[in-house]
Amino acid sequence: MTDTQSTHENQEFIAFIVRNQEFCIDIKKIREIRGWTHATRLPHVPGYVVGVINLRGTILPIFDVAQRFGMEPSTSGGQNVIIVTQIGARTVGLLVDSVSDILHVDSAQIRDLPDVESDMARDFLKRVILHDNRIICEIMLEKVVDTDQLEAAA
Amino acid sequence: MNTDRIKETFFLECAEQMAEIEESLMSLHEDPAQPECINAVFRAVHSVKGGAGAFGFNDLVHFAHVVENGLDVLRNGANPGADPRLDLIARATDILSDAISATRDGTAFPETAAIVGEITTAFALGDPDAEEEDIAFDAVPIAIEALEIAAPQEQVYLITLRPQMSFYVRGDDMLKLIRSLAELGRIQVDCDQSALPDLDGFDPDKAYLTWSIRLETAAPREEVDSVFEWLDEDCQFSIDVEGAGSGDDFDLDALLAGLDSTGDVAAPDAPFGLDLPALEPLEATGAVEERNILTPPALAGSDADLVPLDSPAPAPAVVETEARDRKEPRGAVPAQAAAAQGTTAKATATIRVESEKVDRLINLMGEAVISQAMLAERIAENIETANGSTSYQVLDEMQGLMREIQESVMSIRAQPVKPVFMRLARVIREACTATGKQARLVLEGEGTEVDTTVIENLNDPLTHLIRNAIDHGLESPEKRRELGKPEEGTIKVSAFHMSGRIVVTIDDDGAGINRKRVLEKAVEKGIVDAGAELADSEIDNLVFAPGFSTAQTVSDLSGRGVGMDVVRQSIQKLGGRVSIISAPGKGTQIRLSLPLTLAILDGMIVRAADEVFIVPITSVIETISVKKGDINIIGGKYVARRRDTLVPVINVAERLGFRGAQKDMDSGTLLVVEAQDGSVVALLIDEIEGQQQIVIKSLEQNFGSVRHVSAATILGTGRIALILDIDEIASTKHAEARSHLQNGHVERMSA
Amino acid sequence: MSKKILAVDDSRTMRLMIEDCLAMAGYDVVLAVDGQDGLDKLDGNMPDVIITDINMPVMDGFAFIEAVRKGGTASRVPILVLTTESSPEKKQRARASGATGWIVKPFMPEKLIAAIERVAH
Repeated sequence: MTDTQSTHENQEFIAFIVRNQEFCIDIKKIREIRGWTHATRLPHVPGYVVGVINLRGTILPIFDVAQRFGMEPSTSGGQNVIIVTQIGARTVGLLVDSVSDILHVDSAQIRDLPDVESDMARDFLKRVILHDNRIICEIMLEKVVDTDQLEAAA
Repeated sequence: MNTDRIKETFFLECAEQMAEIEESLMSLHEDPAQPECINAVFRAVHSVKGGAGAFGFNDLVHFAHVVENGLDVLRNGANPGADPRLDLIARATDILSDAISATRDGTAFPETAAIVGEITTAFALGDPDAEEEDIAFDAVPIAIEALEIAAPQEQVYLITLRPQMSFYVRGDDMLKLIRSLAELGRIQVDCDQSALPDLDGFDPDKAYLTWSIRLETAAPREEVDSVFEWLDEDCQFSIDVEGAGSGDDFDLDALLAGLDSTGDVAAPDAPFGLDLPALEPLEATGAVEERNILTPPALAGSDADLVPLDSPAPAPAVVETEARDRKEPRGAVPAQAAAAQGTTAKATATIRVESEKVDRLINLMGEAVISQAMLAERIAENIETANGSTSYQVLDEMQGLMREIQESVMSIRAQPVKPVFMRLARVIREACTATGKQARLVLEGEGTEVDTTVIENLNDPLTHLIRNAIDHGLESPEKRRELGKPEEGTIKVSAFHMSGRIVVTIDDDGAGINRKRVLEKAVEKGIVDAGAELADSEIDNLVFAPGFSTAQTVSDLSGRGVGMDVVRQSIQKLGGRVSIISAPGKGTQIRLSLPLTLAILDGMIVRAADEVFIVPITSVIETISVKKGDINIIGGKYVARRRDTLVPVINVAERLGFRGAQKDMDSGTLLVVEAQDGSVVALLIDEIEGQQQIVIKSLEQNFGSVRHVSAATILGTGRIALILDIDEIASTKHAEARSHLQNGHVERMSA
Repeated sequence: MSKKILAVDDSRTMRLMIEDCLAMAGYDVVLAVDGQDGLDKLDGNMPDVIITDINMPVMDGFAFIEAVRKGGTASRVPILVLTTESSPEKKQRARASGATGWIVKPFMPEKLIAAIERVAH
């Protein structure tokens, strides 16, 4: 999936930290960022689905990005942050360690994902952004919060 | 004009028209002697055509026009209700329905050539293309193509007008006519009063004046004509062009054609261009003669050009004649139709409200219910300090009000299930065509109201179930004859309210479920163990088991059988339950039970595994406080004694996977619940926290379906609680369901 | 004072169109869903012009026009028939019933307004 409109435009991304690694998401897909609140557990879902919280009357599912990426589960607590994102008609929350930056990125800074031997990279990463000597991977949001395989995974 | 809004209305109305058609066709099927039903179908198609024309949906107009023409022939036939061509009409309206959808969605217009050909042949219609002109939806009211005149230069028209009384009776006005002419150019008006009698002979109900108008104008001829376009026999008139020769393209014929009466004052061969008075005798004789041919009663007394105002006779007479001439049943119908429809048509005043506004209201109501619950909780907390009794009293009152408001708000969105039911007629027709079987649809309780959210979701499951009933349930006509059943099978669809839910049943009078075959298949598929002893109802309900494909099972005549588990899933998604009861050789009943709304339910708030859950109160039979020894193990399964029976116990925390399998079974509370299939189980929970009306929030919207959970809600605390899916919990696997010691209360067939 | 038009049509789409078109042109529009409703709406609503469809349930356009013409305060109000019908017989029948004019649907707003202006007293 290539984002054609980005070729001539500056784009903005929100960078966040998961287990000392920095990732980012297109700012256009982000609705808000909020602190951690208690989530209601869901039965028969994979561990990376933390549960659901009440976001002003709607049921917001929370995905633990670390666990989704195959890392140790986040210990949900005061430090954690929920990034509320909009994917099509769905609103979902991503549980991350913290939000680190807002990136203003020129199209020249965006690279395709290099051919790395990592399932996680292939499954969940979209592109690479070179920014201030940092290398920040943009995640494939749709894949991270994909629930199609949920029944099988459960 | 707000075209989008009107378009939306148009398509909505089309849907209603199509439902109306289905209903009428069905009534005719029941009783062919109902000409008003044919008229209703005709009117509906006509209405679709009219609206389509307004938007320039020409394909739709053309097709509707053909159907309408067929219907017109049909309804003028001897016994329209029993006409075998009705079937063709029914199929045509199916395609019309597709055509409407295609037009609305901008998708490919359905293939209509074949059915148009059929209709054209069956009703001996003319070439549909040849009559193009008739349906060319030109906004110009009269056909004036023939009058096109290139020369814009000034012409002088000499116009004579001699209105009859009927001209005035019809609400027209000479002053208006003259004023309209004046707008075209310079006019000179003479009024000939010579026919005016003395005061003695004056009859106020008669017209005596003749007007001569000289109009100088550069306006094209058709504009001049258009001023007179509604004039007819009640105003003799002639238009002449000064100095025009007979070779001029002065074609009054064309004008008259547009004016709907060939018997107009000016006969085609009238010597135009001559002095006006000379025209009079010719008009008087020639015209009357011709008119007499066309509409005798209208002109019965008109040799004096005058129709007395106090004599309304001509009009009804014409109606009568026409009704007879055209064999149009309408003439006889209105009284009957009015009697039948009058009450409904006038019963209630309605307002149009955007559905979003209602949705918003319902959402706000939901929030209010939550706030109220929160308030109740706060008051409960402070009960020691606050003046408890008064607060509770007010709260109680408020709760009652809230419930009433909520019900009223919900009722705004409630709709009868009728439109969905009506669509089933088509499903039956198509399934019959595909399978060579015969079936008729019988509806009951189609006026039963349910929230639109439920209605929208009923269509697909019902369609599948009906197809299945015909495909797998009904026998072939030959077989049915052998069995002594009527060749035409009956599919009965009923709806009714029962204990806060809507129940929809689908009955067929077919062969019933082949239990032996079903059981074999289930064993083959590993759904049940070989040699398992199942009750009949358990076997029947196996057809809903996942992985049990009906298309392969009982029969696969059409190969269109839809897996019944898909139906079950979609019904369960709606918070509904489905069960099947079959009587071999006699038929099958499928019973759907659905909540009246997908927005609210009465919930019992329970705690288990440190989480709060909601159990729909409708499924709770009783609650039992667990004491030591109440729960026993039989064959490795927990059971509890409930009066004389043993009920399987399901540890909710364990079933949800929230807690290790074993905890002590000597405390907590048992909720005895009844599942859709009639099985009774006891849910072990920690404690009951209370009861509350809760607002259902979808998990699917942002997440997806979750096993054992039907939806979620937001509690007074702002926390989310999951609503347990009792049916799924009670019978996650049929293997487990089978092990139930007691298969209690199987819902009885109502038929 | 703006002219009052009574529009009788069983099609909601048509009613909406007529209403939109006429209200925009500054008319005061009263709507009715069939002939019977039209007669009811005449009660206390003296229109300057009546527009009616022909094919309607309960009471069709012909019967409606006849009923209006039969008597009562509105018996001389101009009545325009607005219909998809274009057959001469139907026109003849409408005329015999007492219709003032005939407009074939779909209508162009200007045409409808011109027709109204042409007959309005």
